[in-house]
Amino acid sequence: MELDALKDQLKLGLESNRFYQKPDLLQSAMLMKAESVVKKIKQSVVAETALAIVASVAFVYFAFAYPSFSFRMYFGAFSCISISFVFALLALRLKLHKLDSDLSVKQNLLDTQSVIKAYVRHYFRFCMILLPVCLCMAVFVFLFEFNSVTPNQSIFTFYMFSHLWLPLIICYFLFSLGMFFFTKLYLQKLYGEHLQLLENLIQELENE
Amino acid sequence: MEEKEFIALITNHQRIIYKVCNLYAQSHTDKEDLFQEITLNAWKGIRNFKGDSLFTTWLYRVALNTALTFKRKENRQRKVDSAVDALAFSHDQQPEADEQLTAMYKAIHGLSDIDKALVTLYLDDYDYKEMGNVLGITANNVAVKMNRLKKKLKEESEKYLYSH
Repeated sequence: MELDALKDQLKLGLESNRFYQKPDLLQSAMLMKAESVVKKIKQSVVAETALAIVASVAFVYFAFAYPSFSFRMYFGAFSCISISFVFALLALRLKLHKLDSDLSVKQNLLDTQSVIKAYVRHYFRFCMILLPVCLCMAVFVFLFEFNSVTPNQSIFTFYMFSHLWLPLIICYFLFSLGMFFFTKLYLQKLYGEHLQLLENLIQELENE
Repeated sequence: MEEKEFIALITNHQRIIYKVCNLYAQSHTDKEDLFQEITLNAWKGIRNFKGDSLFTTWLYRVALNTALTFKRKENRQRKVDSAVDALAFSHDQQPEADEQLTAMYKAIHGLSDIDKALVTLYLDDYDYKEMGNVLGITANNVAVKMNRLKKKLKEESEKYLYSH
């Protein structure tokens, strides 16, 4: 049995199964919220941009207003990170807005894949950058404050190493390892399957 | 374009959206969701439509792009049987023809998403060049894929017919 022999009947069957018949529903469909992955990423990016702006303002305020020098440095470092994060998010938003659903299927798949990959990459990098920054800044604040409170006491003794630094370093490494795998797993769960699907579709289109 | 104009335009061409939804979504809820998503994307993108191509070609692009990147709420494992049963057949036909149609629908529903896109356009009498334009591949590639696809559909539908 050939496809061509049943062409008209097949077409009719697919077209006539109308599950959405009321005309006013068409109008309401235009006002509804989309459920696509790209739409969800767009919403996430908007929320993250708003949060990053609020955090930047707060960090900048504390970087100038806080009385302690070490805390001013601490908040200063985080202001730089959050401000650069705002710009990264704005660039991603621009990329998302350029996504055009009336491009050819292949181009649309390529663009969607590139945007989702960029989002996943950006999210992962940000999480990983925060780990050493948080540690370094915490150590810096601790050393600075410790020295200002007890200027004659050294913190780099064997006792301090075994009772403070070593447990802290072990905790930091375990926490970093956990964060690394958790972030990877989280992103894979959220977007991994969809990215794989897009990859397969692109490959199938390209194969002759 | 005004909302009313758009609704009239979509209403005139909604068969394209129904066709894509019936092929790509299985459950009633998924079909409705996909229908909304396509309508929404078409409404958002209508300003970009400059009339370089036919409106139907443009709508096919939007519908297929939406369907291919649509995140289904339920498991992607298909409920092919219920989906095929839900399709409206014209019952004035011979039972034998009905069975052949059912077999072909089953075979089409078992295809990959890209092959479904090819079938959708082919059923609407698009030539290979136009199909290539919508999909973003060459007419030669479309021809190769279509030959393979027709053979596959023939085999699959016959397999179904012999098993019943």
